[in-house]
Amino acid sequence: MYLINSKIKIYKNFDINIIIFNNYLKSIYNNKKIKIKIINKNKYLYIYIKNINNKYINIKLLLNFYYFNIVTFLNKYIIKLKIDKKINLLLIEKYNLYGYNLLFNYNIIKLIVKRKSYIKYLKNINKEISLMNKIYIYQKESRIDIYDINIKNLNSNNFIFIKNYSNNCINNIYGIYILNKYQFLKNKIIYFNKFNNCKNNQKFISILNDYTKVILKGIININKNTRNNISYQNYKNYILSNNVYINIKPYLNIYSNNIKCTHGVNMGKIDNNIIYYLLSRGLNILKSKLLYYYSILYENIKDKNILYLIKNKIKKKIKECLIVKK
Amino acid sequence: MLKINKLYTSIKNKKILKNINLNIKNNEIHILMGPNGSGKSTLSYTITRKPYYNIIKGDIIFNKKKINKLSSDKISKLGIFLSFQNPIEIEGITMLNFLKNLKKNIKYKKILKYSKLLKINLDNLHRFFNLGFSGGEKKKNEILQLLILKPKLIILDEIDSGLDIDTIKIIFNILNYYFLNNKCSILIITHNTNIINYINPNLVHILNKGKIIFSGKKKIINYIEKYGYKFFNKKRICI
Amino acid sequence: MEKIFNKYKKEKYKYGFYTNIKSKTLPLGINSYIIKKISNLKNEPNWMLKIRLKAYKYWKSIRNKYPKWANLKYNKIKFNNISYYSGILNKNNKKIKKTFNKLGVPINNKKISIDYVFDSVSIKTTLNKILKKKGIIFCSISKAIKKYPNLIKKYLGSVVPYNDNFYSALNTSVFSDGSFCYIPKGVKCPIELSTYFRINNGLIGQFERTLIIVNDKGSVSYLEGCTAPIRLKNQLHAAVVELIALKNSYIKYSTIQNWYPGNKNGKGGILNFVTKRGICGKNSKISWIQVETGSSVTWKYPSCILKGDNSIGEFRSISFTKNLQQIDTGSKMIHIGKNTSSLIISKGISANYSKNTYRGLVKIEKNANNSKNYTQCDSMLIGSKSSAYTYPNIISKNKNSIIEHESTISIIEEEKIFYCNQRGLNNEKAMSIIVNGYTYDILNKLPLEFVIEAKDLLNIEIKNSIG
Repeated sequence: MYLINSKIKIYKNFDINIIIFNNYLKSIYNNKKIKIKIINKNKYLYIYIKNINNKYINIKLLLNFYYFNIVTFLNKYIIKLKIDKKINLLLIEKYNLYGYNLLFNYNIIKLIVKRKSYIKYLKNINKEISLMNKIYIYQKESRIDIYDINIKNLNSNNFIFIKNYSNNCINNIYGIYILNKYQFLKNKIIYFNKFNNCKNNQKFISILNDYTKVILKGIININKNTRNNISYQNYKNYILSNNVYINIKPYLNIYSNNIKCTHGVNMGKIDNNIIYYLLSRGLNILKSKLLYYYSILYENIKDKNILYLIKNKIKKKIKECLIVKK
Repeated sequence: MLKINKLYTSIKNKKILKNINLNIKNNEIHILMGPNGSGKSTLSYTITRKPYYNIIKGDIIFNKKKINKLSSDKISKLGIFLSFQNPIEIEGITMLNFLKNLKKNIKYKKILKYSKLLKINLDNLHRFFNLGFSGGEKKKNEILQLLILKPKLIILDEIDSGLDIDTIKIIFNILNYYFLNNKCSILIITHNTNIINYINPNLVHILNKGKIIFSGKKKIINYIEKYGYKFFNKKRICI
Repeated sequence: MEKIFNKYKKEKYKYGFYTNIKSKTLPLGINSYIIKKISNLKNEPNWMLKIRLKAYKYWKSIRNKYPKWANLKYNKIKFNNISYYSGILNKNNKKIKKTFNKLGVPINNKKISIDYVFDSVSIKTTLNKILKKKGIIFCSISKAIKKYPNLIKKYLGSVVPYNDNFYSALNTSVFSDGSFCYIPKGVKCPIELSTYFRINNGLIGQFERTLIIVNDKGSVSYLEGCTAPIRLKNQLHAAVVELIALKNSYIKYSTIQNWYPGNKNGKGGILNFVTKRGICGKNSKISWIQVETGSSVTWKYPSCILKGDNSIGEFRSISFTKNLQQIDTGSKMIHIGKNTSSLIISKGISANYSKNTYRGLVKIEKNANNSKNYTQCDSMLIGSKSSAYTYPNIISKNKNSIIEHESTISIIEEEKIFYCNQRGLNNEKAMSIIVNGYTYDILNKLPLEFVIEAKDLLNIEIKNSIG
């Protein structure tokens, strides 16, 4: 136990720190404008963040997972997060590994969001673990941005389910997948809409090298008699090796004739003109490629808070991907 | 020719026009002016019965026939032509093909003749309908359709906006020629006070907040130019 | 707008008449005896019968596992309630001539060589003299089995093997007739080749088989047309089409499918399960063009295997569904050779209560360097009760290839309809102008003789669906 306490870090710039160590929970919060209700029972965690003043407030929440000497096939944890009205929440997931670990982690996160809230959810898997994540999102007249960043995980199987419960919902999913070696990624996103005036925007950019295998599936469901919905789905892929396997299935099920809906898939090489331009400005090949890929990825991490957090990690990973040792 | 009696309209339960009375007689040119959002285009759409432009009360009578409940294609067949402010684009259908659909037995020679009159680039006839046309070309296309359809009442919605002087001259020369040689009436909806240089109206109406607040002779356009529309808001003036 | 679409006009399927004619029909059901009988009736050599029986054995083993993955709903097909062969007794019957005249494909057509298939039997192939001069073989497949066994043995089942899928197995075991075409080296076929399929008998399922082989530097343009009488019961049509484009050759395969679509309550109509596939050799090109307006259920994925280097595969499709019709169509492009390129353009229009699905696969294999694919699948919905689905599947294993996929759901803008209305065109005409524009790029690729026919067909469909 001593070892645990010495390793656990508490980040003071976050309003709420939730630490899950194997199955032991610790939580700290220091914001007086909110009330938090926490129930923790047998691998089931319930968090309710309540807004007292009925004014817009900004909160940062850190979900910090620590694993120490775990050897299980499925380590399951269910987290239910309920968020009150008028809360701008920055939610960050973090993983830490210590000791000898062999686990296939299985987390279920349920997000229930009330009116006029704005949530930015950074799902950055920063350690080399195998993960199976299921995220369920139920929202009412709010905005949710999910930043799904897969850089380091070995083996991940993601499932995101989004369902609207009222009109005027906004939903953005930005995916960045930079993979090399034997990384595996399977991603399934289901968007389910029964209401009007909703916007859904999904953008995925992947850079793949070596023996990576990627399966991406996105399903958009627009129900009968809905109006003025906008759905946009886009996949951009850059393949750097002939041993990559990539499979993309962007599905549409449309039952309404009042909708703007497009999806697109691009798989291609880099634009040599741009590289040439950069070379002519005195940059070397590695640097110009780095710049080029970063400029592409930047599109998906424009948000200042997010950019600040992961900028360097992404740059490092692109470098790792581009330098091929022979 | 066209008579509008106590017309009230709405779009999606929002009231737009309130108590409009208008009487356009044979061989008359009327101009309808007013600030943005006063309901000028709504009036033109209501006359041509665009869907969702509901009539709450009042009558629209064209050649002694009530046209309140007719569909817009039948109204067009009666001889009312609306030149759109923003004409649509249709992909895959050439302009020539579309024109041939408008009237049975229209001859290619005639289309050529009209196009030459309007100084339309003849290659445009084989391009897709309005696709990638400039604003001037689109408006010329509207006039070309007018010449083919030979309507009795012409409604021009902002025909002169965004055009260069040469194009405006060509269009109005043809309109004047058509007006002299055919029994017809014209209703011009515009912002531009310069329009007087090109056409000679019998009456000028000023529309504000869904009501015709003033009708008068040609010279009131000078007052608009000098003082703006506010000048007519108070009823004390008489010209 | 809604109101316009909810009105229905009475169904008018122009080709729904029935010709009363004497024919030999086999009893209902399928078993090895029936297969032997079919083979016997057609005087087939023994090796063909062996192929049939092998396929039947396979089909029997998967009989209860018919494919359910398609986005289609229909009653289970009772394979024992179908007659697998119906051949007319007298091929020179005047009634047949009349029938084809009525269908708009007169037997003395002088521009196109047509193979007329009536139920299970090919009646006649026209303009054979011109073709013979050039060395082109164009005849019914049963004739080819007897006359050119070497070609058939080599190529039949080489692209679509009998165990490819459920319906290819069924087709291989019971296929009755179809067309065979062979273009020798360096010959460009001077006229359009065409096959016209007609189902007349009420109990029969039609199982056609088409095989087209084009040798080095040859080219051919082939068209397929189909109709059937109005019946209250569903009828099965399961075809297999194989195209083989050897080096430097070109095949253009067009389909105008107008099977009976069922009435407005969804009763009756043809169940259309088709496997179409072509294989491309070096520098060759296959292009599929289809206009699908008929059938109550369509299950069809014309595909290209781009095996040779620099080969090109194309797929263009218009599918129009109305009432309760269901279409699940699309294409497969499998890039194996280097510098291969493929194009998929699919335009679906669904009206009333119908379902329109695009399902596609683009696969780029490891060694297919510098391959290119462009896919565009658009859907248009008319009225609020129809639905559109797109299920693309994109697999890439190569770093030098480019794939672009775009798809949009478009609606007919009321603004456009109003504009046309204002010019005196009624709703019907306005719609047909807009839909014609929407399908322009595909219609224009059809052989010249059929562009007008396809346009008319679409216009009639629009008329029927709006009313």
